[in-house]
Amino acid sequence: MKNIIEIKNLSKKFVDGTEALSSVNLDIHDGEIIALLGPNGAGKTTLISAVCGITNMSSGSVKVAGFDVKKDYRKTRSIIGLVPQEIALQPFEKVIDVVRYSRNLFGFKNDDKYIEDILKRLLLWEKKDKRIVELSGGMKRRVIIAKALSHNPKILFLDEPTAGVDVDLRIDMWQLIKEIRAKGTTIILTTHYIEEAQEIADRISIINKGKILLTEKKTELIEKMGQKVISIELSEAINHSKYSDEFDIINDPQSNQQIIHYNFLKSDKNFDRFITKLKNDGHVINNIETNEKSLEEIFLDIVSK
Amino acid sequence: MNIQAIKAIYIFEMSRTIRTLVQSIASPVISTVLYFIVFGSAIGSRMENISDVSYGSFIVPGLILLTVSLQSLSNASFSIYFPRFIGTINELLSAPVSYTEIVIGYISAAVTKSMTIGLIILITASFLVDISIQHPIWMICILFLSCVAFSLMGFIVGIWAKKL
Repeated sequence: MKNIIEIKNLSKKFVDGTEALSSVNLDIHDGEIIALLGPNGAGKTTLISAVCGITNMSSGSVKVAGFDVKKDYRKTRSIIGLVPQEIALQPFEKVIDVVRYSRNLFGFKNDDKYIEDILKRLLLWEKKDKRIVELSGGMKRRVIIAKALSHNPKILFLDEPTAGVDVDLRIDMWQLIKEIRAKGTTIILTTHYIEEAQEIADRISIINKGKILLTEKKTELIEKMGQKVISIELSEAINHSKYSDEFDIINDPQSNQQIIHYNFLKSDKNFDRFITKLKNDGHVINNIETNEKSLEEIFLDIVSK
Repeated sequence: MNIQAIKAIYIFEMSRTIRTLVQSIASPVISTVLYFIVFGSAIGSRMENISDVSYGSFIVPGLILLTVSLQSLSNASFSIYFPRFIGTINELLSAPVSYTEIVIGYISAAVTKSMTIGLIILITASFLVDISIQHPIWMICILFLSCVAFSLMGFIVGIWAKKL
């Protein structure tokens, strides 16, 4: 797949010596939704800021659509839209004016039809003549998305777009993000809500302490690192140690000896044999439950390493 | 050059001035008129003419320049400091706009505001004291250059100012 953003050995060191990014390499594919997952202070916003031109990088290079973000900043920035983490808006201006202002800043003339479409899509059309200060927090967040979309960007950075918003609005946002992607926009989403990444991202990049720890397709990541625990309840207690040498079972003498927990990995060939052995040993299975490892648990595993 | 962006910054700044017309334009004009009343009428009646120019007329250019320089400084510094303070500066930094274009946008707005105030004061003064302009083109040039110089200074102050 064609890369729309290529980040090579990107480092950022602040004047106080803090290394926010350390030799980051990341390729972002055209038309995908990639989630940058990381705890607070991991370097997600700094990475976005370096690509968008808000922060100067200490070393490395970033190319957007084949253009260098430093040398060809006009070309790169004109196709990028940024939804910042903080709601920063001119409080006494009208909604429509701030959206038009953003469009003009990116070198585009006013296009009332296009602005109307965006505001309608974001349910802001009724509020177009309201001043920002009169809007609710959720509406303000929509306004910053409208501003970012005002110049019809090919790439959209969403820096924690659902931080501090209620569940309904969060689901609306996810729907909106999917709609924007359907029109061919590449979306880079930073979040620390794992469920958000799980819901909408195609690929996931985990960042911690300024380093990219891994970048994988979401489905592959869950498949590769996701573990299933199959809990089998038998009709009578059994000796777990009898099976633990041969099979990957959790041998916990404290737990209910009637329930046996089996660690099931994808393409596990032993499970079938394990069940057959249980049957052959005369055990009767009363119930089977499966618990899959969530992306959140995978994330915590990776970050804690 | 991103002319559209320069226009956007200029119009955005001017619309703020129009929205806050009383404090932007009327307030400096009123305070300067008070200067005329105090210095020109109250004190001026007791002062001798300076090179055949009455005291009231003599202080007009000084008062215009004083107001214009202060307004240029405060307008330009506030216009860049406010986006820094509320965080909207990031939008400007991530837009395909060069530093020169940003400066042109903000400075031209600050100069327009200050020159407007200067000219309003001049017109107001003409109702209060006798004035004749010997070199109108030079006057406009000097007024313009003073506005530009003080606006640029104000812009630097706005950039250097630390956030609270």
